[in-house]
Amino acid sequence: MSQETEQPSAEKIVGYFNSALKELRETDDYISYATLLDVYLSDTSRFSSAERTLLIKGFYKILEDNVDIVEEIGWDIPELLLDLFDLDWCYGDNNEEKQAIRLIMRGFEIVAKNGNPKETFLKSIELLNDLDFSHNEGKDELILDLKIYALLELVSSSLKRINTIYPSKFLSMALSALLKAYSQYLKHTTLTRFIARRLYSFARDYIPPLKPAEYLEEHGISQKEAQMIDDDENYLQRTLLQSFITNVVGLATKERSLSFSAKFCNDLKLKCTGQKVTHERGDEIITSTTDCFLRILTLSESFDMDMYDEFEKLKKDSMSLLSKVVDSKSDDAQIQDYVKISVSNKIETMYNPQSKTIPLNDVGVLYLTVLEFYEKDQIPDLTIQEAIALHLRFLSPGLFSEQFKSKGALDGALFYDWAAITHATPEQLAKVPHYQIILFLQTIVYYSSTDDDEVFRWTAYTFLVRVLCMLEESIAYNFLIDTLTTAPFDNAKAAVINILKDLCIRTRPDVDSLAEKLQDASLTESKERTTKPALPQRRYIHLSIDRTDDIYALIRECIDETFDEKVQSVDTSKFKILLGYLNFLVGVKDQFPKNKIKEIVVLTEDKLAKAPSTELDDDAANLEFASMACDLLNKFLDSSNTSL
Amino acid sequence: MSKFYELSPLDAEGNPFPFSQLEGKVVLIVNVASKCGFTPQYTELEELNKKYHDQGLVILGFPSNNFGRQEPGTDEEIQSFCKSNYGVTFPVLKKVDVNGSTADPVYNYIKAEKPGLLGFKAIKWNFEKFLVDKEGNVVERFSSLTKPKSIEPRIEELLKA
Repeated sequence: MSQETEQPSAEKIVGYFNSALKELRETDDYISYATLLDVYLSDTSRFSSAERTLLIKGFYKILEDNVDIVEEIGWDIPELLLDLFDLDWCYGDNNEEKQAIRLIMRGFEIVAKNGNPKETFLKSIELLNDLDFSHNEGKDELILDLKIYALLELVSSSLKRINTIYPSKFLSMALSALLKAYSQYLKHTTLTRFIARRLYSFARDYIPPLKPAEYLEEHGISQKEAQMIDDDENYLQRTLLQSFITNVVGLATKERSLSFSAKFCNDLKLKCTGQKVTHERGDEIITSTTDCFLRILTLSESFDMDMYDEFEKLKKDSMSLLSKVVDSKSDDAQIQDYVKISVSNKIETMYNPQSKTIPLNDVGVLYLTVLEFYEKDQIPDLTIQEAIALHLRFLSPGLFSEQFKSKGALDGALFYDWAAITHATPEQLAKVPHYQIILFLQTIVYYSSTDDDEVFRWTAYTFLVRVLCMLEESIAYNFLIDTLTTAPFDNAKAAVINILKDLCIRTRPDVDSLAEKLQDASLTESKERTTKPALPQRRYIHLSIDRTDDIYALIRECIDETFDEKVQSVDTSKFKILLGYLNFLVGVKDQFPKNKIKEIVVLTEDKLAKAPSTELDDDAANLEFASMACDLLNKFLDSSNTSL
Repeated sequence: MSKFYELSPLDAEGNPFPFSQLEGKVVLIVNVASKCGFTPQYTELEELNKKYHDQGLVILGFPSNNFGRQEPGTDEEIQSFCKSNYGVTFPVLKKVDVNGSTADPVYNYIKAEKPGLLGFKAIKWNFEKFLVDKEGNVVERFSSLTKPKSIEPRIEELLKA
């Protein structure tokens, strides 16, 4: 028996549909007709492109000409149409295929216009919830986008046609499904523009459903009661839409930010030094995504959200979280207290069954405020204490769990850190409680060490240096040494050694001499002044004997951890820290006791001589680099001995 | 007297444009933009202006760059654009913000008097329209999608009142 007799051709199937249509007219048995469609349309993968096109044309014609079918069994059709996208279309320039795909889309339109609104609405929500987001590369990405587009349009159109006096019930269902779909989508890709635009359009174009005709009489509702229901419903719909767009931004920026902190830092550097920073991301994706989010920002304003008010509220709420920490405890206890408070706060904002309001997404709001300042080209007005409060609120929970991490929160917090530090003074920074400073610095080091974005790491480390320069010397030094002693991330240690070297070498700007210069330039001041003797230049961190002892001990420990003589191996990440220390010694050799340098060099050279000659698994960890550093230090020691 | 007549925005040259001069007039206020999909509505607005100005209709355009950066030009450029492209003869005033904390007082007033869909006060996009009666009451608010011509019957009604 041939395949032909077992499985009918596309032409025959269309024939069956049309014959059954005649029977339908006699029996009004729409359920049987729906079953027939299910049977023949649920597996069409065996057909050629031409046959599929024929089948879709036939199916579409039936829907177009027989709207009553759509009215009766509209809930069954979207799934059949959705499956047709999965056929092996080439999605290229084939005109026949293009027409077939257009017909599938138009099939959705017919259902949207004629299907039972509540049934098609619920079906489209169900299909959106069940959509498989894991296949999203190449052609599959296009298919997925087509499906999302078709379903979102169906949700939107059918929602408009529902007659209800409680529209918020349907709106909340739609928005939850949209956010769930978006969240699933983002698990598989960070390219969010397409769906973000669709969600933006959904919120922008939302019009509440009409009320049923004569509902007052039908349900015995007075005009006064109807007005109260209207007011409540309008309030609920407003807050649902506000919450929705903040959630869209919050979700969109969970795994990818728009690098506003880096932009701020780069602009600052350009203004101060005239140098354009090479660490800059200017790709098309960032630009177009920024444009998309600026549209969302505009929409949030149309939804009566004032981002300046929201920014003030964010600052106030963040300061209020800090005020819950008990004063009289130790730094460590206060830090633990605060992290607990910030985590509880985060959980409450994410899930709080007791809440009587519809919450905004806090990260979404934070990021929208950043967008507002970016769009208006304004520097936000906040103190360093407020910036630290915002920073700790949004970034501390991420120390506790990966679930609470968000690139948007990171970028937003660092943006405000930069904004505040540009006009902060060391005196203002000195007034911030010590435990907050320590936690603030720890979060910067933590995220800088764990984030995969090179541009962000550079921006964060640059900021860290800036803050450390403004802090009291002992606080900066103790923090760096504490990080080198206890930080669990080796890359953090390697970066911190560079910062320590930088602060031990760089000198503070000579404030007195600057003041004198200003005074000399004064036009009104003409009287003679006595010139004060110039003070010796002061480094940000002075290497006292105690401090060189600390660092010496750390280097010795690092050498031991790097070379395992028993198993003849070199720990690559520890070796990078050791390279950092050797480089540090090269930089501060004039300030470091020579006998200690000598000991370190001798010990390192000995370990290097015994180390296996095989190359390490990281280009940056070349054993030759350590030998070169030792050579430089030996030359310095030799020249010192000669000059003595 | 309605508080509407106490308002005094600035004209394109930066001079006060006191609304006290609008007493007894029907006023149509529109936030306009030169690079918007709705910009061609200038044509119908000007037609309404020509047809009803002598009967007491005053149309006021408030350029705003709040939506999609679609009004980026200077006041001078905006005036020139309106005249040369659409022959606009009704007053197009100084560029303002219509939403947010920097919104022009005119917009703060009319938005509060006549909230839009769902009770949102803020303007949604360019070319939203507010109709003010002869007593200074903000009586209608129309979305950007509403074409100026379709407001004509309501304008006539208010002019006859």
